[in-house]
Amino acid sequence: MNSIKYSKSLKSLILLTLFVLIFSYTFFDNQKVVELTDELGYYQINTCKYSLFEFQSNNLKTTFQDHYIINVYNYSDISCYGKISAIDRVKDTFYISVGFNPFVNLVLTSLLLSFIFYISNKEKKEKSVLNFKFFISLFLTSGLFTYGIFSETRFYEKKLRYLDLTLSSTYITIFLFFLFSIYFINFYFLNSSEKLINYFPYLYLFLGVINGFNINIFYLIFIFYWIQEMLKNSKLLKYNIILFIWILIWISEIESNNFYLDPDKIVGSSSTVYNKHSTIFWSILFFYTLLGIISYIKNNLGAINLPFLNKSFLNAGTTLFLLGLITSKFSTLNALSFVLLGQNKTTTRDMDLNFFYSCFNTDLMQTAGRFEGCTTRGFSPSAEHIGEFYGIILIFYFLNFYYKKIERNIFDYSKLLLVFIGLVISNNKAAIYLVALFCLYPFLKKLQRKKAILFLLILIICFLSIVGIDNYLHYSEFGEYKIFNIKFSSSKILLEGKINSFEEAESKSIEYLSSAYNNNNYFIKFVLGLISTFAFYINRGNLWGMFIARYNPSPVDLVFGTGPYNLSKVYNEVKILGQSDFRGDFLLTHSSLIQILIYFGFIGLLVLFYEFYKTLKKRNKFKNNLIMFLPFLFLVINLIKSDSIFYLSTLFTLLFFYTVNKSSYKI
Amino acid sequence: MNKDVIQFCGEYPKDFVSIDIASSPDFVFEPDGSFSSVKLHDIDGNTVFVNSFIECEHYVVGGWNYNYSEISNFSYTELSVILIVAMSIHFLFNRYKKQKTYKI
Repeated sequence: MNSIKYSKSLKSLILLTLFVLIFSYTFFDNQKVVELTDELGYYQINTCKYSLFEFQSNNLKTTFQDHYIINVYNYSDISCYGKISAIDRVKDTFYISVGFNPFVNLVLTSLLLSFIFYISNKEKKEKSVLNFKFFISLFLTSGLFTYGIFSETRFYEKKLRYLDLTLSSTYITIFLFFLFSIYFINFYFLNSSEKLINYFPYLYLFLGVINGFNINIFYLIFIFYWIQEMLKNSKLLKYNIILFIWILIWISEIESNNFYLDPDKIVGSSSTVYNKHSTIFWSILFFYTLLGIISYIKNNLGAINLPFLNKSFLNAGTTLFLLGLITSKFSTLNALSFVLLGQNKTTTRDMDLNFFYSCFNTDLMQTAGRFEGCTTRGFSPSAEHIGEFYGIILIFYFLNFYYKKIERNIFDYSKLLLVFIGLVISNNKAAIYLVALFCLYPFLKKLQRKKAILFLLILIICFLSIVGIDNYLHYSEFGEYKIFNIKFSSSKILLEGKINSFEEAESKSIEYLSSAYNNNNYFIKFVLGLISTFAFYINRGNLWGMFIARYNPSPVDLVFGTGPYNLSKVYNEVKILGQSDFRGDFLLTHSSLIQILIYFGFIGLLVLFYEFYKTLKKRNKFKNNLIMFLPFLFLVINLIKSDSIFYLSTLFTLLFFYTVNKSSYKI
Repeated sequence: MNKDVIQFCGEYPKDFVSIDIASSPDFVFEPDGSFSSVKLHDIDGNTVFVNSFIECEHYVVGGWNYNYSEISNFSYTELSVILIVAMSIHFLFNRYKKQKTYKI
């Protein structure tokens, strides 16, 4: 046992040295680094001469001073990998561009992940995974991802600028790169797949976007897994019939307009172009990933270890918080974690003492709005995403503590405190309310019904008065607070939709809803009024209004959707006034339900509601399953008003709790 | 006829008439539906897509006549082959290890 530990430590050390070498190998040449001053001419002429670590070790100020920012230049040539490709200055800020290359990123990320899988296999028992089915799955998965590059040439022309994507020989090279990565990741994944299920909360740390590609590295695992499952059990092939019928419906609707979308922070979870090839690729990718994750969880239900999983949640949450702090301060780590851990966006650089000061400064709060001055997404791509994760950790820990009396140690309290601070500064109010409610739920269950209701009412009033009363009242012209008129809130979405539309170029949704309103269609008025009032009070009135200003579905789109991860049509077909928010990002709908409507139409929504109902029913058979059911419910409620379904970590967590509940897993 | 133009843009069309574009500053290249887009590189590794023979000829004569392999000192094909060799060695090593385990 000791020799295994020793061997693994040695291998970890070798790997770490190799990683450091990638970013420092120019130490060994004769060219000496010039000190960075205001005169940048030297570095603008001598590009790709100095590796990042060599440059920074001679210019230590660039590692910690706020006005030096490492810029990831992810379409450089391989020979410039890890080297300074340019330095620019804008006002007082220096932008140090470091060359990265998508293919090297793919290889390095795969090797890093394979190594993590390898060290998690503590018994070091290797299964015989290298069989015929392994290689068939390997070739099919590599082929699928090569096809993915072909389907989105406009996106990849920029990123893979040294390759000629019009030549078929280029695709052989791309295929070989994927073959290598998929081989190694899956070899090590399959060898320790049972153990890994208890490590899944770390998906929030290793987000997995392959820098320079519009792909998440975990797709390479779960698509491979599902193809192998189909080869093992031919009955599973029937799912392909449904998938291919649906693909046929989707592509029959596509005209050759090639709507393009820059994926920004949803890179790796969104198609960039609306065409037939891209729709086929993303449909197969989405369904195979979904089925791969579900079958992986089902096959490893027996390996779930509650105390271990609980520990993983807590440790992942704490590391996420600390990593957010560290990477916000050190620009080198900020850039490296972006590339090697596959972040969708680099960590925000606002988590300093001033930030925490703003959380306790009432004057600042009043100027910036309650808590607005004290909100951060930290390491995560969105504050909603990180808030939901912290919320799940707290709920899961509390339920395990309450029902299972799990062992605690002194460090757990400090870890819980960090997670709690993380939740508060994510400013995800829905998550904060729900954590409080779900942690109280086991106590409320014990109370008499009347007492429970009274207690809940007091709790709601306390929350409204403490946290967010401003959202519910408005300051009238007579100088007093009044509750918003129901007429105002119930037509908020339509109003916002109209404000954001160009005259004479309104979407079909706006046209339909306006005429229903004018013709006093009570059913539509009631349903829209309900959704609108709900949206208004959860601060989604503007965003959902902008969605209906854009949404212009054909009858087929409305029933079947436009295909998974396909937003290009919605964001291009009808132009609206509020195209982007004040930061210049493109605004998402902030509702996973709306995403489902866009992707799969009303059929998708019906299937989703039916599955939720079925899960609810199954759960009732095992009443002690609250430990698994409440986190599921928490995520479902949050997803109504958040876009987190875009991130593989949230998708996996949701599917984990869904599969566990649906499989009537007994704790 | 320029050999480079033939190499990058294909054979000259039969009715091709060369135009002195440099002396007509308002000249606009019209895309030609019968011409498949061609990607050209300059010495700095910049790329451009051209959509007609005349546009292609203009760029090639103007110095956009470098193959990718000429401007990059690293070949993706070579690297991919090295990776596949590494993968094969890993596979053979594991086969050998497995056989050895069974024998024991």
